[in-house]
Parts: sequence; C-alpha cells; structure tokens
Amino acid sequence: MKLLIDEILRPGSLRAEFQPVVEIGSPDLPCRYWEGLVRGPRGSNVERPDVLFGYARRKRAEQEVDRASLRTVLGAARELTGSVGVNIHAATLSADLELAPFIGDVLCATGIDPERVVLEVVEHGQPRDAKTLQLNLEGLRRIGVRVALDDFGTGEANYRMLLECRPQFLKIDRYFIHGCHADPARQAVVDGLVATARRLGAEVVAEGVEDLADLDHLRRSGIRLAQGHLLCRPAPPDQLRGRRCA
Amino acid sequence: LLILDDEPAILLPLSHYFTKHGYTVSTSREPEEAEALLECEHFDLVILDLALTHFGREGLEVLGSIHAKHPWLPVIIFSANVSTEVQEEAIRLGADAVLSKPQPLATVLAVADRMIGKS
Repeated sequence: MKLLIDEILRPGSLRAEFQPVVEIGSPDLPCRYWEGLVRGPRGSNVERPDVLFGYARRKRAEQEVDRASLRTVLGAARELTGSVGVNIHAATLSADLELAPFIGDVLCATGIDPERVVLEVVEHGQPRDAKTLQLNLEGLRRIGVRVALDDFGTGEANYRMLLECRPQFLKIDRYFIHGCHADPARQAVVDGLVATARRLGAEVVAEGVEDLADLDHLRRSGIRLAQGHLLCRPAPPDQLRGRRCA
Repeated sequence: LLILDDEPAILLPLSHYFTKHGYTVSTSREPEEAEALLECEHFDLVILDLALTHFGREGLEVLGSIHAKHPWLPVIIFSANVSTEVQEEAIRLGADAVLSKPQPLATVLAVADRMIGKS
C-alpha cells in the first residue's frame, strides 16, 4: 500500500507560496524578504503545513520533509527577486549533520546567492542537540545565510532558542500581535521583546498582522517589519513577480 | 467527522453516506495522518477501524493515543471480527461504541447522530 509520506516526498508533490515581510515604516510598504511557505499535495489532508509537519513528525520523517521543503521553496524562489526565507525545524538542524552542505548544494543548483537566504528556525516540541544545531547555523552563516527565529514566544521558540540561534530577525508570534493595540499586557510583552531584540542586534518582525489598529500600534512601538494578511496574503511566485523588494 | 480506515472500499462509501446526511467529513487511511489532523482541526466525532495492520500499528493503540490527547472526543469503533475481549478493551481505552463490520450504514449513522446529540 502506498503511504502518504511517499506521495509527499515524490518530486514535484510539494508547492511553495510566498508572503512578504514588509517594511511598515515606509509608505509604499516594500518587501524586505519573501517567506516561503510550503504546501502539501493539493487536495490532500496534508495540504496545510501544520498538518503536513504534524504528520511528518509522527512518521519520524521530519528531516526528509524539511529537505524536500527547502528544495521546493528555493526552487520556486528563482522566480522572485530579493531575499527569501526558508523554514527549517530546530529538530532537523540539531539532528541532520549534513544539512549545511545539503543547503549549499541546493543553493548551487538553484543559483540562489546564500546572502539572499534567511533561514527561519521553527520548533514545535522536539528535543534537540544544541551543539549540532549551532554547528549547522555556523556553517550556514559562514556562507552568508541569515537566521530568523520564527513564532517566537510560543512552543519551543523560547529564550533558550534565542540564545542558541542568535538570530538576525526575531519574529514575534501572532498570538502576541492580535489585539495588541487594545491590550496593555500584550503591549508589555511586545515592548519587552523589542528591547531585547535591540540589545541582541536583531530586527523584530511582527507576525500575523490582520488589523489596522494593531499595525498602527506596532509602528508606534518601534517595530519596522511586519507580516500578515492585512499587508499581503501568501501567493504563488507567479502572482508576486514584479512586486518591489527592498 | 473524521473517519480512519485503511480500506478505501469502506472509507469512500462511508464518507459519501455521512456527507449526504449533513456531516462534514475528513477521511484518513493512516493513523499518523489522523492524529495530525486531530491536532490541527476540530472534530466532533471519530469513526475508527481497529484493523490498521498495514501501518504497523494496532488500532487499540491508536484509540488509546487519540483518547489520551482528546479525552472528550467521542469515538466509534467500526471494525471487522471484534471479539468480546477486544470490545471490552476498546471501551476501557475510551471508545464510546463498538460496531462490527459489516453493518448497514444507517446503523452507523444512527449511532453517530446519537453521539453528537443530533437525534
């Protein structure tokens, strides 16, 4: 019997959409970089990335699916100009000793300059080996890849990960952004993260911005980068071609 | 409604029948796929086959895993050759009803309706 994992790993089965990380301080809202979002086989239960990776994790195939996703996103990114974010699980970074050379090979094959790449580290609860994770990140930084910490503040994307990854971009999870304009507690958390990021030399990205009042509040809080449906929904690369990227 | 059964010959008619009777149905042939769906989406009811040997996991183990993570989610076992011992074990592990295959689809629907308070 054919397993779903075989279908997922079949070349051409995954698709990529992109959503811009936008410079909200500029009036024309230029894109700083495109975050690549992988989608599972069309019409399947795993079309949604959270179900896709939930399934991959349970099948103990997260590394293979992460690699296939990297290949898919970087391949599709050839159609875009500017920098591109690719997601990778911390569990893969901390277990796959050959990951940095693999990414280097994919970059060579796609002709994408490593300095255009932002590696977005995500994690949803796997144990990890900090040393291997750091070796992989060092190897990738050496060739010019930048690092972002995704969904910060929820799950395993915590302060320990912040110290282990030393990201250039700190992406605050949507949980803290939704309704922040009217919630002093959320404002306190966001302000604290902005101050921490500044001390660490990282830029803050507000994720999941869907409300104009929240966006205005984020601007007043000193946040310069944001992402969300209010600014631009994820779309396939052919629909984004020509959009300005800073 | 989520239906987990590794046999397409069961899955498709069951899915069509429940859809025709007003249910929003997701189907899955693999336990890991069903578990990932349950983690990410809301379901009111699960229909579970215990004979999932194609995937190297026992249906009862899958039932235990689902019930541990979603203790309030009703589960109907719909499986062939269910012995009294297996039936008792399924109930102990959290199943709300056990139906033996073959069974008229109307019977499965009636039990499902009762579980979610539709009738």
